[in-house]
Amino acid sequence: MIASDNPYAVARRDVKYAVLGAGGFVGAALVEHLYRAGAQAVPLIRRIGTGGALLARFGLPQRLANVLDQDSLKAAFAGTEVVFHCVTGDRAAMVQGLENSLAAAQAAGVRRFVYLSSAVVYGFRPKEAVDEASRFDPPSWSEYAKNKVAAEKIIGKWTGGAETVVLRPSIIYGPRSKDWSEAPARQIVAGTAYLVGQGRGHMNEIHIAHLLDAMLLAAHHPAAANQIYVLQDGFGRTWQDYYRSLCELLGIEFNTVAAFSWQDATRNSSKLARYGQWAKDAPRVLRSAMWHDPLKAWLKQAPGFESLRRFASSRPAPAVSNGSAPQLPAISPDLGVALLHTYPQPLVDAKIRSQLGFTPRLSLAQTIEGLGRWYRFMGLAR
Amino acid sequence: MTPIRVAVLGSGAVTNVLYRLVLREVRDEIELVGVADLNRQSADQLLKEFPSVKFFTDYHSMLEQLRPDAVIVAMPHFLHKPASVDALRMGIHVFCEKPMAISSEECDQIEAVARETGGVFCVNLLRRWFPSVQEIKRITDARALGALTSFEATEGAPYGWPAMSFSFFDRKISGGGVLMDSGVHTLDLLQWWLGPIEVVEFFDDAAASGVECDCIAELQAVGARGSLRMSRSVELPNVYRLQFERGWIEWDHDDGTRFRFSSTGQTRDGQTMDGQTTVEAEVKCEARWAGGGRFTFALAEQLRAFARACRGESAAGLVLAGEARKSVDIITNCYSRRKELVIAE
Repeated sequence: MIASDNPYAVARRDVKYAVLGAGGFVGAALVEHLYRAGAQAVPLIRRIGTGGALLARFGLPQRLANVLDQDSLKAAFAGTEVVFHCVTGDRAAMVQGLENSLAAAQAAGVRRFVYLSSAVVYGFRPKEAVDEASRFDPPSWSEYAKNKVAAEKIIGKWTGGAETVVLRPSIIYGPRSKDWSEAPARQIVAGTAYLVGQGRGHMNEIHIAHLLDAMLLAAHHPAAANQIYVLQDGFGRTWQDYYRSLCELLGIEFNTVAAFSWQDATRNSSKLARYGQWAKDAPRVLRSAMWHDPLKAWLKQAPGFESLRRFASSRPAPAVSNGSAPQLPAISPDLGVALLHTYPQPLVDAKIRSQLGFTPRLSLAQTIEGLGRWYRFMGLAR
Repeated sequence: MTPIRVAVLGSGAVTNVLYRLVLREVRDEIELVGVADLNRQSADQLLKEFPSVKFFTDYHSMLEQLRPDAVIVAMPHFLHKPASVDALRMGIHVFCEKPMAISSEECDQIEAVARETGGVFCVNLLRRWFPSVQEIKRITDARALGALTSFEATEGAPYGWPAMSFSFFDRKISGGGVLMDSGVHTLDLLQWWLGPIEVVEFFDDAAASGVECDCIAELQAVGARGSLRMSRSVELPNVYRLQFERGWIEWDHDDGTRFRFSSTGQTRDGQTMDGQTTVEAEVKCEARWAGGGRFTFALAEQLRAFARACRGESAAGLVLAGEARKSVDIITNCYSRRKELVIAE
């Protein structure tokens, strides 16, 4: 991968970095980046799982650390100069966990604390162009957005010794991005992909490699202390552009992607909004857990296994059939996705570019090429 | 018939998830007498279900005191060889978890001791006991579809094994990553069905001291090229496809009863040759298990066969040292040719 020209975006060998949430997509990628640069990384994970398998490639000692357990954090942060907080989860993990992490960082004498927030604090489709000074407007139906706002308020009130930096990316894509690169590709292959409003909304995406550069800038740049940054690649892509490039990589006609009007999408998504993300995601998570037969055998002993199994086998009720391709599975548009697909303007990312010198180092073509390599490994593309 | 007396070495995830269930089923042939592990807590469930079983933190003491007829070795991979050798030298038969050991050299040692002592040594390669897998074996042995022309296998899913420690992620302990852990099954089946497998190239994503999460092996079997892709990071198609001169076989990884095949002149791209009729079908074999699943069935069948072998009866169906080592030999060969795999950059 091409290295960044910005000296502040380069991992330093004389700095010890702790990465909270190292088992997640961003955290694992960051540890890899630090490792490859020869820096000292302390990967902290909540449990042994997929992220642990990724981290195990480097033979680094992995540590279990729970953000709800301040003592485990203090021990983990000892001797570290920078903490990257890439934790997600429920409200306790995202909010109380952040408070604990800040306190532990303070106790350990951490110099800088980089918090990975999200542009979702402005809502899924703000009415006006947003920058760092724009007001929070999380939708009432998104626990994730509300938790991110609550977490940012904690950072906003923070008066401890460690400098804080908040990053607000929106769509983080690239190899290993389950939500924004794997899921759309699998949906395109399965014939269940869709775009709302023709996908003409601004995607406001950031490639994982660029996000990692921004995180290192946040860790090192003197001007970043106690600042907040909105960031994106700046390729000016719409969702339609993105889906077209994915279709091309996968060798599938773009016209197989279902098209929903905003009205159709929202009419059928009100139920999702009511029940929240959990009801939609839980069966998928359970199905994934039951993939392995010995694990299933183990689960089978648990009381209520049968009802769990039935729930895991359930699919969202068909909401809108695809009129142009009636043979395809019915698709239930997601309200959050519908809002994103119709995002009316680019995020204003001038501050990070001017203040920290942030510049995406990969070209659009390189980001697509990288996705193609990953899709070929997965067997999605030839 | 008196059940053979068996002790379990290791009470980690596989013991709790699989053996604990199966040992209940085979009580008529196997009596569990002891379990050894450094972590008492990990054996709690087993001890609750088998109250007469004695617990030890040192397997040497257990073997000395209990003198079981046989042991199940379900310890971290790097201990498979020393534990198996220790048991065999004490005249104790061994049923070992896969992989047989973490290198060809270690397999040599186990094989030599098994030969020298005359003890039964076999490895849990349970997929061989699936009816679907056995039916494919019959087809390939009979060369019913002609010569093999190519093959491809993929196995992958986000890592979800309920591991109780980081031992799977430590090269010194596990001997490797996804290839050593899951690939041992895949390679065992491929070589069982197709014959000796040579490694052409191997790519993985591990640093020198780490274990691979994803890998690709370019292979060759009886002159036909093939590939294996494995992942702990992402779901792969999880299909084995064997292409022959006059048809193909597709097996969805871990399907105990079904596979698909096509016979007569169909080529890979679906064109028919010489105007012959092409038959495509899905074969569904009899499950042979009423409750539980294919894994518990396959393990129970093996343990019963193992008990018979320990009593001096036939060892038919068991994967003995000479056969079990073949997949480890391929893995050893892969690791010795490692090149960097870059798939996510």
